[in-house]
Amino acid sequence: MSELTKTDTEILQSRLDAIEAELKDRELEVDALRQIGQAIGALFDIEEMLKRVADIVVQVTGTDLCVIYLLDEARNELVLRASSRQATGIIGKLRLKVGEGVTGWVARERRLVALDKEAWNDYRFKHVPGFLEDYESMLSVPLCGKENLVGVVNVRTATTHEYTPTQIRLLNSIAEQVGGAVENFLQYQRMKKQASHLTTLTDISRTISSEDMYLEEVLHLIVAMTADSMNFKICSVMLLDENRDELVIKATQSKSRAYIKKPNLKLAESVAGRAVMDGQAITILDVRKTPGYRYPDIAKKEGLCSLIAVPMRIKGKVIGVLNCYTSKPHVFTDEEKALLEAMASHAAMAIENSKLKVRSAIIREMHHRVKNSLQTIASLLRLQIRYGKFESVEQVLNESINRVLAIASVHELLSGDNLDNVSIKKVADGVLAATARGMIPPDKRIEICVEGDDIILPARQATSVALILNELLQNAIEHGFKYSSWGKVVMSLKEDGDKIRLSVTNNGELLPPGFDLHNHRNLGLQIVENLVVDDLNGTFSLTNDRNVIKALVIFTRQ
Amino acid sequence: MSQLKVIIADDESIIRLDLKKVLEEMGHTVIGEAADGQKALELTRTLRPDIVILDIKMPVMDGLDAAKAIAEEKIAPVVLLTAYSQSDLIDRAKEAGVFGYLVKPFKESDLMPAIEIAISRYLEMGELEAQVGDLQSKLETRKIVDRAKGILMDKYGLKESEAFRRIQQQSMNTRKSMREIAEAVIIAHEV
Repeated sequence: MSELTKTDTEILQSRLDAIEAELKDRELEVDALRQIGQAIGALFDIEEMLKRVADIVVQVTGTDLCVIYLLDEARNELVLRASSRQATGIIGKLRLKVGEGVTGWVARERRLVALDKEAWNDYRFKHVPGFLEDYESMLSVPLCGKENLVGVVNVRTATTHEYTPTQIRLLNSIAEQVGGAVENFLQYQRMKKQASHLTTLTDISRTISSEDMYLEEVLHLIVAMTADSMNFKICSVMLLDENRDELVIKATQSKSRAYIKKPNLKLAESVAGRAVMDGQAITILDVRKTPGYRYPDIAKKEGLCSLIAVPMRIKGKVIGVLNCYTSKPHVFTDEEKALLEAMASHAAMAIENSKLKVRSAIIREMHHRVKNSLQTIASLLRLQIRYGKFESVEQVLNESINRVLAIASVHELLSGDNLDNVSIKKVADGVLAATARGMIPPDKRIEICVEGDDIILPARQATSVALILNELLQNAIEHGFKYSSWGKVVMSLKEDGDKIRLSVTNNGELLPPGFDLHNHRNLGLQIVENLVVDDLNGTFSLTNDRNVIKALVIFTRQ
Repeated sequence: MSQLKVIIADDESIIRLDLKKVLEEMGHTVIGEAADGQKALELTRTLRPDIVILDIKMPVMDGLDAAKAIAEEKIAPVVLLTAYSQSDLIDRAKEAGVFGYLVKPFKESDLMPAIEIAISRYLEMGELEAQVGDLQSKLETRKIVDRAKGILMDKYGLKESEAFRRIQQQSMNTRKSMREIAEAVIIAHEV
C-alpha cells in the first residue's frame, strides 16, 4: 500500500510538475500574445509592426533570429519584410517563389516545418548567398488570414535546437494573430487604393461631361490623372488611323521628347497594335527584355519597365489604346486592369463626344449655307421678274434652272470635312454639263470645253465663280450663235499666284459695234458685273478679241 | 408708310441687288450699300438713315456687332437678315438691341412689316427713354425740394406747408425753377 502510495505520490508530484511547467508555458504564451497584440494594435505602419513582432518572437521563443515574409499575390512570390537582426539592404528585396526553399514549401503546403539541425541539408532548402548561412535549426510557420495565406514567419537558432511542442504551439498562435492583422491591413490598403481610384474616375467623368473643354485638354487630363493616381512613369493615349493601320500618339503626360516624337506605330508590329487588333489588354513585365517591343532604346533611356496596353472601345469598335508604363517590374492586378479599362472607355467617350460636336457644327454650317443659297436663288428669281425681258416661259425657266444648278454644283463639292476648298475645274465641268443639257438647241453643233489650271477657291468665291461661268456660258450660247449653226466655246481657267483669270470665248457672231457693257438690259451680264465687282473685287470685260468674243474676269484669291 | 431712307448690308451682291429693287419698288430709297458690318456702321453714321438692314454673317465686322454699335449710338432702328435658325438668333439679337429680323430666304411681303415693326418699336423705345429721363429728373427735383424744405423748417421753425410755399413764392418771384431755388437754399445752408 505504502509502495503504491509512494508511487502515487511520485506520479502526482510529477504530474503537478508537468502541469506547473505547462502553466508556466501558458503564462509565457499568454504574455507573448499580449505583447504581440499590443504591437499590432499600437502600430499602424506595417513594416514597423512586423519588425516589432520579429523582436518579440525572438524574445519569447528564446531563439536567435526571426524573419517574416509576406506574399506578393500578383507575382506569387514571398518578399522578406522584417528581420529581428539588422538587415536593411535586403528588406523588401529578397524574394522567393512560392514553392522555392523551405519557406516557399511552407507557403505552398500551408504546413509548418521544424528542422533541428543542418537546415541547409534539407532537400527543400534554397541557398541564398550571404543570408542566414550559419544557422543550424529552423522553424517555419505559415501566416494565414481568415482563408488565405498572407506570408511565412521563420525562427532560427545558431546551434542545434530541438523545437518543443510548446515553442511550436506558441509560434503557431503568434502566426495566427499576426496573419489576421496583416490580412486586415492589406484589406484596408486595398480599400484605400480603390477609394482613391474611384475618386480619380469620378473626377475624370466630371471633366469629360463639362461642356467647355477641348478634346486635347480632356485626354491630357485623363493620362495625367491616371499616371498620377496609379504611379505610372508614362501614360499615353494613341488613336487608330484606319487608313494607314497606324497608331498615332494623341496625348501623354510625359515630357520625354524621345517618347513624344517616336514614329507612328504600325498595327501589326507593336504591342499596342496587338492590343488594338485583339481588342484585349496586353501586359508585359519588362519591355526592355521583350523582343516584340519596338523601341527598347527609348525604354532604356526613359527607364520604362512594365507595360499595359488597354484598347479603347466605343460601341464595340476599337478606336485606340491607352498605354501605361511603370519604372519598376510590376504585375498588373485584375483591379488595376479593370480601372484602366474604365479610364480607356472614358477616353473613348471623350473622343466620340468631340466627334459628335464637330459633326453637329458642320451640320449647322451646312444648314446655314443652304439657306443662304436658297436666298440667292429667291433673289435671282425676283430679279428675273423685275427685268421682265424674256422671249418665252421655257427660256426663263431654263435660265433659272441653270442658275440653281450652278449653285448646286458648289454644294455638291462640299462634303464631309471639306467645307471650304472647292475645285473650280470641277465647278466648270458641272456648269458645262448643266448648261449644255438645257441650252443648246438640237439643230446646232456647239462644242464646249474647259481648259487650264485646277484652281482651288474657298466656298464663297467658288459660288460666285459658278454663277459667273454659268451666265457667261449661257450668254455665249444664246447670243453668239444666233445665226451660225456650229461653233466652239472655251472656258479657260488660269492662276498666277493669287491672281485668277477666267475667260469664256466663243467663235460665233461678234459683238455689235458700239456695244456698251454698262448700258444694256441683260440680267445675266448684270449678275456677272455685280458678282465680279462687288463680291470678288475684280474686273470684268466683254470684248471682240480678233475673231472671237472674249469675256474676261480677273480677281484675287481671298 | 412714307418714303424711307434705307441702308442695306449683305456680303452677297445678288441679295443686295434684290433687296434694293424690292425696296425701290415700294417707293423707298436705298441711300447706302455695304458688304461688311464696318462699312455699314460708317455709312449709318454719316448718312443717318431711317432704317438699317443688316445680314448677320459678314466679313470684317458681323451684323450683330454693327447693330450693337448702331443701337448704342441711337442712330436708327436695325432689321437683321439671317440664315441662322430663329432660336439661335433671338437672344443674341435682343442683346444687340435689334427690333426686327427676317429669316433667309425672306419673302417680299415680309420685308415691310419687319421694317415697320422695327421703326415703331424704336420710336416707342425713344419715347419710353424720354419718359424715364423726365421721371428721373422729377424725382430728383422732389428730393432736393424736400431737403430745402427741411432746412427752412429747422431754421425758421416753419410748418412743412409754409416752407413749401416760400420756395414756391421765391420761384415765382425770381422766375427760376423750384429746383434751382431749393438748390440755392441747400448751398446757402451748407456754406
